[in-house]
Amino acid sequence: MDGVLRTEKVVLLGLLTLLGATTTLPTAVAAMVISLGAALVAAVVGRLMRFIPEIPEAVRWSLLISVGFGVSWLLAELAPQVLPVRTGAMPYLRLAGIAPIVFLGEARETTMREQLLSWFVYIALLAKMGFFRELFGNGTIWGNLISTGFVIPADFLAAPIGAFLLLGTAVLTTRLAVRFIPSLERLI
Amino acid sequence: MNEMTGVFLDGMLIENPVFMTFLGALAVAVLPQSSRGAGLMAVRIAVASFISSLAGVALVTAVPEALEPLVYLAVGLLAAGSLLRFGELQGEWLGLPKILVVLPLFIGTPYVASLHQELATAVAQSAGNSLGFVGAFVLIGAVRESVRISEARSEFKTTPVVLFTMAIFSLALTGFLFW
Repeated sequence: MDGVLRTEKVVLLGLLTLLGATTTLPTAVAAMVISLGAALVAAVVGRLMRFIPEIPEAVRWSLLISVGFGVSWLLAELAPQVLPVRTGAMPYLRLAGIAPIVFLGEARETTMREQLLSWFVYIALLAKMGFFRELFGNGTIWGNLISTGFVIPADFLAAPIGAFLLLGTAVLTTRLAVRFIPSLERLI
Repeated sequence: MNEMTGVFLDGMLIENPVFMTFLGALAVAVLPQSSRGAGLMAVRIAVASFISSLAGVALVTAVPEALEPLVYLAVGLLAAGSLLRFGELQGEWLGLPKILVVLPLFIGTPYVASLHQELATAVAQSAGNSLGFVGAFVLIGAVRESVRISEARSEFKTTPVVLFTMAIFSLALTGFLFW
């Protein structure tokens, strides 16, 4: 997987697991906040565990995964109180804490700059997916019907096929962009 | 068609863990490199997932609701640990343990199966999910293999083609929503 673009890594590390939470923008924002929260807590726990000498890798990773999962489950329970989250998205929000991107801070040979850029790309992609799937799949923005009377019947974009299509398009566009403008590779 | 068959087929097609519910999408996008090599790995992962589902569903009924997440986590980690013990999914992927790619499947499948009220239907659902996962794993392995040896430009190979293939399969499975 060496030489893989950052966007592609982020798609695989985070978005593929959370596709079910990108049907609307509020749900995508909830997924974003939950995975960020889980990542922060997992990073703190990971740093603390470095003070424990000779902790076996299996135990360390089991603890990290447990922490990520626990945080995401708790935050997912709170999400519907704050955001108009769809009931169908709840399982994905609860599982957000075990997406590999949550443990990016523990990844080998990953610099802080790389982590921050990856999270920036992740947030941008998640928001884009939520916005476009809600707009073109449901004809709404943040749950509000578009007042122009322009109703978009592209239901398939709210369905799994739309999620895969948008994600594939994002990766392909990035690859083509880097092919024609190689300097973009450092950013995306 | 009786209820059990219906639940089994739903688990395999309409609620396919790769193309429809995304729980195994990461594993399928990352792990299979060819159709021939993918079969055995797919079966091992599917068996571990099936057993973790059954254990999860059985245990969830015996614990208070507040402890349910612990059950899903425990059975998921045990399934992942068992795979590692048998030498599967060793090593790293993008600097992280490779086992992370199957965790959403191992923790998510028992959770989804436990939404069924009866143990028998949960078993049928898990069996359908596992079989659906094996099919998807081998199919995507075959696609990756044929794309790798094709003359397409490198920009179109691997991840984009895998994601577009998944889109087409999910479209095909959507057709079963109305049977």
